[in-house]
Amino acid sequence: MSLPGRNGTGRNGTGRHGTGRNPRVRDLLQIAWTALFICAPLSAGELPPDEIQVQLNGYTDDYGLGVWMPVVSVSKRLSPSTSVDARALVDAITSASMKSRFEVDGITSATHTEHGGGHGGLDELRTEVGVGARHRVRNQTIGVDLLHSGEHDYASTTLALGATHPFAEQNTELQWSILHSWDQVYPTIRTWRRAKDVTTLSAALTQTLHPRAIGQVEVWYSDLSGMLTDVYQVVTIVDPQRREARLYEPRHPGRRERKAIGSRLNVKVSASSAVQLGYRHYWDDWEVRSETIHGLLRRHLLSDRMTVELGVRAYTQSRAFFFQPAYSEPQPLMSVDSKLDSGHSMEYEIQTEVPARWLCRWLATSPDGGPRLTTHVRYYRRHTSTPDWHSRRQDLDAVLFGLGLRWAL
Amino acid sequence: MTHEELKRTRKGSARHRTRGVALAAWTTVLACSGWGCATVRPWERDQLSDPIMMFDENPIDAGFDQHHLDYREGSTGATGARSGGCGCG
Repeated sequence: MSLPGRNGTGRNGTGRHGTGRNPRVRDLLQIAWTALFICAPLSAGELPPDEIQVQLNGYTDDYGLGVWMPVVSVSKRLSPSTSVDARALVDAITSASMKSRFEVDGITSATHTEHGGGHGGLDELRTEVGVGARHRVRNQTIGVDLLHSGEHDYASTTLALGATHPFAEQNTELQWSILHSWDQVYPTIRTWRRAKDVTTLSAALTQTLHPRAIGQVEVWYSDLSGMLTDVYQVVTIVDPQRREARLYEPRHPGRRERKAIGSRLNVKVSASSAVQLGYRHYWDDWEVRSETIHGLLRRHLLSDRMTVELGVRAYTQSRAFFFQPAYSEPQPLMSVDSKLDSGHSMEYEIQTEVPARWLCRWLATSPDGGPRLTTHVRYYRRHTSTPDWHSRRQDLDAVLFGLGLRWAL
Repeated sequence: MTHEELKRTRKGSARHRTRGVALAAWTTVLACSGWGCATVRPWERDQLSDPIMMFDENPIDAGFDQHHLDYREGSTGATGARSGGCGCG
């Protein structure tokens, strides 16, 4: 999904750090492999249910961005111990900023530049396909996933490995995963093509605490290297003496280490209601720090086949060390990316799930009740300390919505 | 202390903090792998099998929400794994 503000490629295309040359990633890989063998003899994991899911998602905000994202996902068991799944989606994007035209100062840009911006109608189309398989080995579940995403200025291939290990009569469950992405960045306003590598490790421990309560703790680490700058963004430096503004390309570091730890608690407060609370702490070596808390209330209405969910999320973050509200002269590192500015956000959501045959009697039913209709609406509001480089606004309002069907096969 | 020295000090502190978090996490994992916490018997798990007790019961929907947040905010990760205490997710 090539939105304005996505981390693109790195500084000068040099300083790349391949996964094999990073001692921290190597240490964590060794820990992951150790965990696999330690947990090997323990008891059963479950395969995902046979299901087909079709969903249409949409996003719109007051910065002029609109996205339509249809998704199809299928999961099917081939045998009692093996299941496969596949997914395909499309991001169709229109963006006001991509229709703007900036001529960036040639001092900091490579070779020649072209006017940016989109054509009429859709500015960007991204397609993504993924396949995966899960296999039960000695009562634990091991999975592998392969994902490819492509658009006119960015391509990504991701390989993920993971496993689930239940213990203690299925009261405790350990999940871990490792994934690596090989990305290529080739902006339409540049003539070069640069690489970006991402390696991510995560581990989650889920524990049944009570007949009505479950807790989960997750640790997450990601190492990014290569092209991490979005060259579609523009740094404006005003020279008051000459009374002129010059435009420069942003410069981000060529490496980023990101870490997070999160926890969630799910409590059944009544026969038909559950409350979920969550907290996450994030930090990285660009000095971005954030805190996130969220709460969800899930409730069955009318029957146990209908579910309504209400949620709220609060978020706050600090600024990256090289982000400045304004630059008086070019710096070795410069950014106008709002994602790296200090700020906060709130999100409110409502989701529903009902049997589709309640609305369409002609839909075929199956022993489990037939397809289910899912809907969601979210309202998102973000405030940044510095006005956005393009819209010149500090507040963003967005609405997300979706409509889907889920069939048990 | 110059900015570079301050950054190096902060990086050193961050490394210690990262190692501490990792050590605490793996200590918890190893402790549970050896003995587990069998707090709930199988016949007591009927409430936990309710779909509303699952984390991320609809992963596609959760993924779409996280997708938009990744493009609007500077942090990501540790948003949870799909799981249910009954081993059904």
